[in-house]
Amino acid sequence: MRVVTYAAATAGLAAAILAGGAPAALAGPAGTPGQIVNIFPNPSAPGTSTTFQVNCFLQSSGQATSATLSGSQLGLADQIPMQATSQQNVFITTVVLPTSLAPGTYNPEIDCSNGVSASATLQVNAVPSPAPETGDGATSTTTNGWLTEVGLGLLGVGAVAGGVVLRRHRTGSRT
Amino acid sequence: MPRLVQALVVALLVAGLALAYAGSHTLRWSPPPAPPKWAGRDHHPPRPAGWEADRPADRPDPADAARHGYQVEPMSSSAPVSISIPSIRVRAKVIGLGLTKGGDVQVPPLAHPFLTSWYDRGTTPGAPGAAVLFGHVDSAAVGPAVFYNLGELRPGDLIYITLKDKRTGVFKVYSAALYQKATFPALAIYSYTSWPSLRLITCGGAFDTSTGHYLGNTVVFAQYVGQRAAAAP
Repeated sequence: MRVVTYAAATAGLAAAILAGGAPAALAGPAGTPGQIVNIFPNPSAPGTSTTFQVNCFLQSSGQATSATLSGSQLGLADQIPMQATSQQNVFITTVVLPTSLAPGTYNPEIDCSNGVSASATLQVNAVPSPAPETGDGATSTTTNGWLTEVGLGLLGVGAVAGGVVLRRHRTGSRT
Repeated sequence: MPRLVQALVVALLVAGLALAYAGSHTLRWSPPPAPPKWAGRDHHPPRPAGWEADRPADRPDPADAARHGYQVEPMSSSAPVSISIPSIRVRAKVIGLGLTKGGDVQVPPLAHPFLTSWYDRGTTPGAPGAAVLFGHVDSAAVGPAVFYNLGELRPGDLIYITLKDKRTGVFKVYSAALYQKATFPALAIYSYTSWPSLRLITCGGAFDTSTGHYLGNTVVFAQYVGQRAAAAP
Protein backbone atom coordinates (compact mmCIF):
# COMPACT_ATOMS: atom_id res chain seq x y z
CA MET A 1 0.00 0.00 0.00
CA ARG A 2 1.26 3.37 -0.90
CA VAL A 3 1.13 5.87 1.86
CA VAL A 4 0.65 9.43 0.74
CA THR A 5 1.14 12.26 3.11
CA TYR A 6 1.39 15.94 2.53
CA ALA A 7 3.45 18.09 4.76
CA ALA A 8 3.49 21.75 4.05
CA ALA A 9 6.53 23.60 5.23
CA THR A 10 4.79 25.89 7.63
CA ALA A 11 5.80 29.46 8.15
CA GLY A 12 7.03 28.62 11.60
CA LEU A 13 9.23 25.85 10.31
CA ALA A 14 10.59 28.08 7.59
CA ALA A 15 11.30 30.75 10.16
CA ALA A 16 13.10 28.27 12.35
CA ILE A 17 15.25 27.23 9.41
CA LEU A 18 15.98 30.81 8.47
CA ALA A 19 16.94 31.61 12.02
CA GLY A 20 19.36 28.70 11.94
CA GLY A 21 20.89 30.21 8.88
CA ALA A 22 22.54 27.05 7.59
CA PRO A 23 21.41 23.86 5.91
CA ALA A 24 22.56 22.02 9.01
CA ALA A 25 19.46 23.39 10.68
CA LEU A 26 17.46 21.31 8.25
CA ALA A 27 18.23 18.07 9.98
CA GLY A 28 15.07 17.25 11.86
CA PRO A 29 14.94 14.91 14.80
CA ALA A 30 15.49 11.39 13.50
CA GLY A 31 12.65 8.95 13.80
CA THR A 32 9.90 11.44 14.41
CA PRO A 33 6.77 10.29 12.70
CA GLY A 34 5.26 12.62 10.16
CA GLN A 35 6.95 12.78 6.81
CA ILE A 36 8.49 16.18 6.77
CA VAL A 37 9.85 17.89 3.70
CA ASN A 38 11.96 20.91 4.38
CA ILE A 39 12.88 23.32 1.64
CA PHE A 40 15.62 25.81 2.06
CA PRO A 41 15.35 28.64 1.24
CA ASN A 42 11.61 28.92 1.04
CA PRO A 43 10.48 31.18 -0.57
CA SER A 44 13.10 30.65 -3.21
CA ALA A 45 13.60 32.30 -6.59
CA PRO A 46 14.41 31.25 -10.16
CA GLY A 47 18.12 30.59 -10.57
CA THR A 48 18.51 29.97 -6.86
CA SER A 49 20.07 26.85 -5.50
CA THR A 50 17.43 25.22 -3.35
CA THR A 51 17.80 22.34 -0.92
CA PHE A 52 15.11 19.71 -0.32
CA GLN A 53 15.26 17.48 2.69
CA VAL A 54 12.86 14.69 3.50
CA ASN A 55 12.32 12.46 6.47
CA CYS A 56 10.86 9.22 5.08
CA PHE A 57 10.23 7.60 8.44
CA LEU A 58 6.86 6.07 9.03
CA GLN A 59 6.33 3.47 11.76
CA SER A 60 4.38 1.10 9.55
CA SER A 61 6.61 1.44 6.51
CA GLY A 62 10.01 0.50 7.84
CA GLN A 63 13.31 2.03 6.84
CA ALA A 64 13.84 3.82 3.57
CA THR A 65 17.08 3.24 1.68
CA SER A 66 16.68 5.87 -1.00
CA ALA A 67 14.43 8.73 -2.09
CA THR A 68 13.84 10.64 -5.29
CA LEU A 69 12.59 14.14 -5.93
CA SER A 70 10.24 14.62 -8.84
CA GLY A 71 11.53 17.73 -10.54
CA SER A 72 9.33 17.82 -13.63
CA GLN A 73 7.02 20.42 -12.12
CA LEU A 74 10.04 22.65 -11.50
CA GLY A 75 11.39 22.19 -15.01
CA LEU A 76 14.06 19.78 -13.79
CA ALA A 77 14.71 16.07 -14.32
CA ASP A 78 11.77 13.84 -13.47
CA GLN A 79 13.64 11.60 -11.04
CA ILE A 80 16.32 13.36 -9.05
CA PRO A 81 18.07 10.94 -6.68
CA MET A 82 18.48 12.28 -3.15
CA GLN A 83 21.53 11.64 -1.02
CA ALA A 84 21.41 9.73 2.21
CA THR A 85 22.47 11.63 5.31
CA SER A 86 23.96 10.57 8.59
CA GLN A 87 20.42 10.28 9.90
CA GLN A 88 18.40 7.23 9.01
CA ASN A 89 15.49 7.91 6.67
CA VAL A 90 16.64 11.46 6.03
CA PHE A 91 17.58 12.32 2.45
CA ILE A 92 18.73 15.57 0.97
CA THR A 93 19.34 17.09 -2.45
CA THR A 94 20.16 20.54 -3.75
CA VAL A 95 18.93 21.71 -7.13
CA VAL A 96 19.22 25.00 -9.00
CA LEU A 97 15.77 26.23 -10.00
CA PRO A 98 15.67 27.11 -13.73
CA THR A 99 15.90 30.82 -14.42
CA SER A 100 12.82 30.43 -16.64
CA LEU A 101 10.71 29.08 -13.76
CA ALA A 102 7.55 31.15 -13.37
CA PRO A 103 6.85 32.62 -9.94
CA GLY A 104 4.19 30.78 -8.00
CA THR A 105 3.55 27.92 -5.63
CA TYR A 106 4.86 24.46 -6.45
CA ASN A 107 4.27 21.10 -4.83
CA PRO A 108 7.15 18.89 -5.89
CA GLU A 109 6.75 15.30 -4.76
CA ILE A 110 9.31 13.10 -3.08
CA ASP A 111 9.08 9.31 -3.18
CA CYS A 112 10.89 7.17 -0.64
CA SER A 113 11.92 3.56 -1.22
CA ASN A 114 9.73 2.42 1.67
CA GLY A 115 6.60 3.58 -0.15
CA VAL A 116 6.23 6.86 1.67
CA SER A 117 5.62 9.81 -0.54
CA ALA A 118 5.45 13.42 0.49
CA SER A 119 5.15 16.81 -1.02
CA ALA A 120 5.88 20.25 0.27
CA THR A 121 4.91 23.72 -0.72
CA LEU A 122 7.65 25.68 -2.40
CA GLN A 123 7.01 29.33 -2.97
CA VAL A 124 8.95 30.77 -5.90
CA ASN A 125 9.16 34.54 -5.86
CA ALA A 126 9.85 36.66 -8.90
CA VAL A 127 13.21 38.32 -9.29
CA PRO A 128 12.58 41.88 -10.51
CA SER A 129 14.00 41.72 -14.02
CA PRO A 130 14.56 45.26 -15.25
CA ALA A 131 17.30 47.35 -13.78
CA PRO A 132 15.98 50.11 -11.53
CA GLU A 133 15.82 53.75 -12.65
CA THR A 134 17.46 55.76 -9.94
CA GLY A 135 18.24 59.26 -11.11
CA ASP A 136 17.17 61.85 -13.66
CA GLY A 137 20.64 62.68 -14.94
CA ALA A 138 20.87 66.04 -13.20
CA THR A 139 24.58 65.66 -12.47
CA SER A 140 25.29 64.33 -15.95
CA THR A 141 23.35 66.91 -17.93
CA THR A 142 22.81 70.10 -15.92
CA THR A 143 25.07 72.83 -17.28
CA ASN A 144 26.36 75.88 -15.45
CA GLY A 145 23.38 77.93 -16.54
CA TRP A 146 24.22 80.78 -14.17
CA LEU A 147 27.57 81.28 -15.91
CA THR A 148 25.72 81.78 -19.18
CA GLU A 149 23.43 84.31 -17.53
CA VAL A 150 26.37 86.25 -16.11
CA GLY A 151 28.11 86.06 -19.49
CA LEU A 152 25.09 87.34 -21.35
CA GLY A 153 24.79 90.12 -18.76
CA LEU A 154 28.42 91.13 -19.37
CA LEU A 155 27.82 91.05 -23.11
CA GLY A 156 24.83 93.34 -22.65
CA VAL A 157 26.76 95.77 -20.44
CA GLY A 158 29.64 95.71 -22.94
CA ALA A 159 27.35 96.41 -25.85
CA VAL A 160 25.65 99.34 -24.10
CA ALA A 161 29.01 100.77 -23.00
CA GLY A 162 30.37 100.30 -26.53
CA GLY A 163 27.37 102.11 -27.99
CA VAL A 164 27.78 105.00 -25.58
CA VAL A 165 31.50 105.25 -26.34
CA LEU A 166 30.92 105.19 -30.10
CA ARG A 167 28.22 107.87 -29.85
CA ARG A 168 30.43 110.13 -27.74
CA HIS A 169 33.28 109.56 -30.14
CA ARG A 170 31.08 110.62 -33.09
CA THR A 171 29.70 113.64 -31.27
CA GLY A 172 33.25 114.56 -30.24
CA SER A 173 34.60 114.39 -33.79
CA ARG A 174 31.86 116.72 -35.13
CA THR A 175 32.73 119.60 -32.82
CA MET B 1 41.26 107.81 -21.94
CA PRO B 2 38.84 106.68 -24.68
CA ARG B 3 41.34 103.95 -25.48
CA LEU B 4 41.02 102.62 -21.93
CA VAL B 5 37.23 102.68 -22.22
CA GLN B 6 37.46 100.89 -25.53
CA ALA B 7 39.68 98.25 -24.01
CA LEU B 8 37.22 97.87 -21.16
CA VAL B 9 34.32 97.41 -23.56
CA VAL B 10 36.24 94.79 -25.54
CA ALA B 11 37.19 93.03 -22.31
CA LEU B 12 33.55 93.00 -21.23
CA LEU B 13 32.42 91.55 -24.54
CA VAL B 14 35.13 88.88 -24.57
CA ALA B 15 34.52 87.90 -20.95
CA GLY B 16 30.78 87.78 -21.60
CA LEU B 17 31.22 85.52 -24.61
CA ALA B 18 33.61 83.25 -22.74
CA LEU B 19 31.29 82.92 -19.75
CA ALA B 20 28.23 82.32 -21.90
CA TYR B 21 30.08 79.59 -23.78
CA ALA B 22 31.49 78.00 -20.64
CA GLY B 23 28.10 78.14 -18.96
CA SER B 24 26.37 76.23 -21.68
CA HIS B 25 29.18 73.77 -22.34
CA THR B 26 30.31 72.68 -18.90
CA LEU B 27 28.50 70.57 -16.32
CA ARG B 28 27.45 72.04 -13.04
CA TRP B 29 28.34 68.84 -11.21
CA SER B 30 30.68 66.03 -12.17
CA PRO B 31 28.89 62.90 -13.36
CA PRO B 32 28.58 60.30 -10.58
CA PRO B 33 31.76 58.39 -9.74
CA ALA B 34 31.93 54.81 -11.02
CA PRO B 35 33.59 51.84 -9.36
CA PRO B 36 36.82 50.76 -11.07
CA LYS B 37 36.63 48.31 -13.91
CA TRP B 38 38.01 45.22 -12.30
CA ALA B 39 40.93 43.66 -14.07
CA GLY B 40 40.05 41.13 -16.71
CA ARG B 41 36.30 41.37 -16.51
CA ASP B 42 34.66 44.39 -17.96
CA HIS B 43 32.00 45.61 -15.56
CA HIS B 44 32.13 42.43 -13.54
CA PRO B 45 33.65 42.11 -10.12
CA PRO B 46 36.06 39.29 -9.43
CA ARG B 47 33.80 36.49 -8.22
CA PRO B 48 33.10 37.88 -4.80
CA ALA B 49 32.44 35.62 -1.87
CA GLY B 50 28.74 34.92 -1.81
CA TRP B 51 28.50 35.63 -5.53
CA GLU B 52 26.86 32.32 -6.14
CA ALA B 53 23.55 32.00 -4.44
CA ASP B 54 24.51 28.92 -2.48
CA ARG B 55 27.98 29.96 -1.52
CA PRO B 56 28.11 31.78 1.78
CA ALA B 57 30.18 34.90 1.95
CA ASP B 58 33.19 34.76 4.22
CA ARG B 59 32.05 34.71 7.75
CA PRO B 60 33.47 37.37 10.01
CA ASP B 61 36.26 36.57 12.38
CA PRO B 62 34.56 36.21 15.79
CA ALA B 63 37.63 37.63 17.51
CA ASP B 64 37.44 40.70 15.31
CA ALA B 65 33.75 41.06 16.04
CA ALA B 66 34.38 40.70 19.76
CA ARG B 67 37.04 43.39 19.61
CA HIS B 68 34.55 45.79 18.07
CA GLY B 69 31.74 44.76 20.38
CA TYR B 70 29.63 43.07 17.73
CA GLN B 71 27.54 39.96 18.03
CA VAL B 72 27.98 37.84 14.92
CA GLU B 73 24.66 35.97 14.96
CA PRO B 74 22.42 36.86 12.02
CA MET B 75 19.75 39.40 12.93
CA SER B 76 16.10 38.54 13.35
CA SER B 77 13.77 39.89 10.70
CA SER B 78 12.97 43.54 11.23
CA ALA B 79 12.45 46.22 8.61
CA PRO B 80 15.32 48.69 8.12
CA VAL B 81 14.66 52.29 9.09
CA SER B 82 17.95 54.07 8.45
CA ILE B 83 21.30 53.65 6.74
CA SER B 84 24.64 55.24 7.52
CA ILE B 85 27.80 55.02 5.40
CA PRO B 86 30.42 57.20 7.12
CA SER B 87 33.06 56.83 4.38
CA ILE B 88 30.87 58.66 1.84
CA ARG B 89 28.97 60.73 4.42
CA VAL B 90 25.59 59.12 3.77
CA ARG B 91 22.93 59.15 6.46
CA ALA B 92 19.42 58.47 5.24
CA LYS B 93 16.02 57.10 6.06
CA VAL B 94 14.93 53.79 4.58
CA ILE B 95 11.38 52.99 3.47
CA GLY B 96 10.06 49.60 2.37
CA LEU B 97 8.90 49.34 -1.25
CA GLY B 98 7.83 46.37 -3.37
CA LEU B 99 7.12 46.00 -7.06
CA THR B 100 5.16 48.20 -9.43
CA LYS B 101 2.22 46.71 -11.35
CA GLY B 102 4.59 46.19 -14.25
CA GLY B 103 6.89 44.05 -12.12
CA ASP B 104 9.65 46.64 -11.81
CA VAL B 105 11.18 47.26 -8.47
CA GLN B 106 9.86 50.45 -6.91
CA VAL B 107 12.27 53.20 -5.97
CA PRO B 108 11.66 56.32 -3.84
CA PRO B 109 9.97 59.22 -5.66
CA LEU B 110 12.43 61.63 -7.28
CA ALA B 111 10.84 64.35 -5.17
CA HIS B 112 12.60 62.72 -2.20
CA PRO B 113 16.15 62.40 -3.49
CA PHE B 114 17.65 61.73 -0.05
CA LEU B 115 15.39 58.79 0.79
CA THR B 116 16.47 55.19 0.22
CA SER B 117 14.23 52.17 -0.25
CA TRP B 118 14.48 48.56 0.79
CA TYR B 119 13.06 45.85 -1.48
CA ASP B 120 10.46 44.52 0.95
CA ARG B 121 9.81 41.27 -0.96
CA GLY B 122 13.32 40.19 -0.07
CA THR B 123 15.11 39.52 3.19
CA THR B 124 15.60 42.12 5.87
CA PRO B 125 19.19 43.32 6.36
CA GLY B 126 21.18 41.02 8.62
CA ALA B 127 18.94 38.00 8.07
CA PRO B 128 20.17 35.13 5.87
CA GLY B 129 19.68 36.14 2.24
CA ALA B 130 20.39 39.25 0.23
CA ALA B 131 18.82 42.51 1.37
CA VAL B 132 18.58 45.07 -1.45
CA LEU B 133 18.48 48.85 -1.01
CA PHE B 134 17.99 51.53 -3.66
CA GLY B 135 18.75 55.23 -3.71
CA HIS B 136 18.81 57.92 -6.35
CA VAL B 137 22.09 59.12 -7.79
CA ASP B 138 20.84 62.58 -8.73
CA SER B 139 17.75 64.72 -9.12
CA ALA B 140 17.10 67.98 -10.91
CA ALA B 141 15.98 69.65 -7.70
CA VAL B 142 19.18 69.06 -5.72
CA GLY B 143 21.83 67.74 -8.10
CA PRO B 144 23.73 64.94 -6.36
CA ALA B 145 21.30 62.71 -4.44
CA VAL B 146 21.71 60.21 -1.60
CA PHE B 147 23.69 57.50 -3.45
CA TYR B 148 25.66 59.89 -5.69
CA ASN B 149 28.96 58.73 -4.17
CA LEU B 150 28.12 55.01 -4.04
CA GLY B 151 30.74 54.35 -6.73
CA GLU B 152 33.40 55.59 -4.31
CA LEU B 153 32.88 52.65 -1.95
CA ARG B 154 35.68 50.11 -1.89
CA PRO B 155 36.08 46.67 -0.29
CA GLY B 156 36.43 47.06 3.45
CA ASP B 157 34.20 50.14 3.81
CA LEU B 158 31.51 49.74 6.45
CA ILE B 159 27.77 50.24 6.09
CA TYR B 160 25.46 50.50 9.11
CA ILE B 161 21.77 49.71 8.90
CA THR B 162 19.47 50.31 11.83
CA LEU B 163 16.36 48.16 12.00
CA LYS B 164 12.97 48.86 13.48
CA ASP B 165 13.86 46.76 16.52
CA LYS B 166 16.58 49.34 17.28
CA ARG B 167 19.48 47.03 16.52
CA THR B 168 22.16 48.07 14.05
CA GLY B 169 23.67 45.66 11.55
CA VAL B 170 27.23 46.23 10.36
CA PHE B 171 28.12 45.28 6.78
CA LYS B 172 31.47 45.27 5.04
CA VAL B 173 31.79 46.03 1.32
CA TYR B 174 33.39 43.17 -0.61
CA SER B 175 32.79 44.28 -4.17
CA ALA B 176 31.42 47.14 -6.26
CA ALA B 177 30.75 47.30 -9.97
CA LEU B 178 29.05 49.21 -12.73
CA TYR B 179 26.73 47.06 -14.85
CA GLN B 180 25.07 47.99 -18.10
CA LYS B 181 21.30 47.85 -17.60
CA ALA B 182 21.00 45.36 -20.46
CA THR B 183 23.14 42.87 -18.54
CA PHE B 184 22.00 43.75 -15.02
CA PRO B 185 22.77 40.61 -12.96
CA ALA B 186 19.38 40.45 -11.25
CA LEU B 187 19.81 36.86 -10.12
CA ALA B 188 23.21 37.41 -8.55
CA ILE B 189 21.83 40.45 -6.77
CA TYR B 190 18.53 39.11 -5.46
CA SER B 191 19.38 35.44 -4.98
CA TYR B 192 19.53 33.91 -1.57
CA THR B 193 22.89 33.88 0.22
CA SER B 194 23.21 31.66 3.25
CA TRP B 195 25.28 34.26 5.08
CA PRO B 196 23.45 37.62 5.35
CA SER B 197 24.44 40.01 2.60
CA LEU B 198 23.51 43.46 1.40
CA ARG B 199 23.33 45.12 -2.01
CA LEU B 200 23.16 48.89 -2.53
CA ILE B 201 22.02 49.99 -5.97
CA THR B 202 21.87 53.28 -7.81
CA CYS B 203 22.17 54.51 -11.38
CA GLY B 204 25.44 55.15 -13.13
CA GLY B 205 27.43 55.07 -16.31
CA ALA B 206 26.59 57.14 -19.34
CA PHE B 207 23.35 59.13 -19.42
CA ASP B 208 21.08 58.74 -22.43
CA THR B 209 19.43 62.11 -22.97
CA SER B 210 17.05 60.63 -25.56
CA THR B 211 15.46 58.26 -23.03
CA GLY B 212 16.22 60.29 -19.93
CA HIS B 213 17.81 57.29 -18.24
CA TYR B 214 21.24 56.23 -17.17
CA LEU B 215 22.59 53.28 -19.15
CA GLY B 216 24.01 51.46 -16.17
CA ASN B 217 23.69 50.67 -12.48
CA THR B 218 26.29 50.93 -9.77
CA VAL B 219 25.98 47.98 -7.41
CA VAL B 220 27.81 47.64 -4.10
CA PHE B 221 28.01 44.15 -2.55
CA ALA B 222 28.48 43.88 1.19
CA GLN B 223 28.40 41.07 3.70
CA TYR B 224 27.14 41.00 7.23
CA VAL B 225 29.78 41.50 9.91
CA GLY B 226 27.76 41.66 13.08
CA GLN B 227 25.14 43.53 15.06
CA ARG B 228 24.98 45.74 18.06
CA ALA B 229 22.31 47.41 20.10
CA ALA B 230 23.65 50.92 19.68
CA ALA B 231 22.54 53.25 16.90
CA ALA B 232 24.70 53.77 13.83
CA PRO B 233 27.71 56.10 14.20
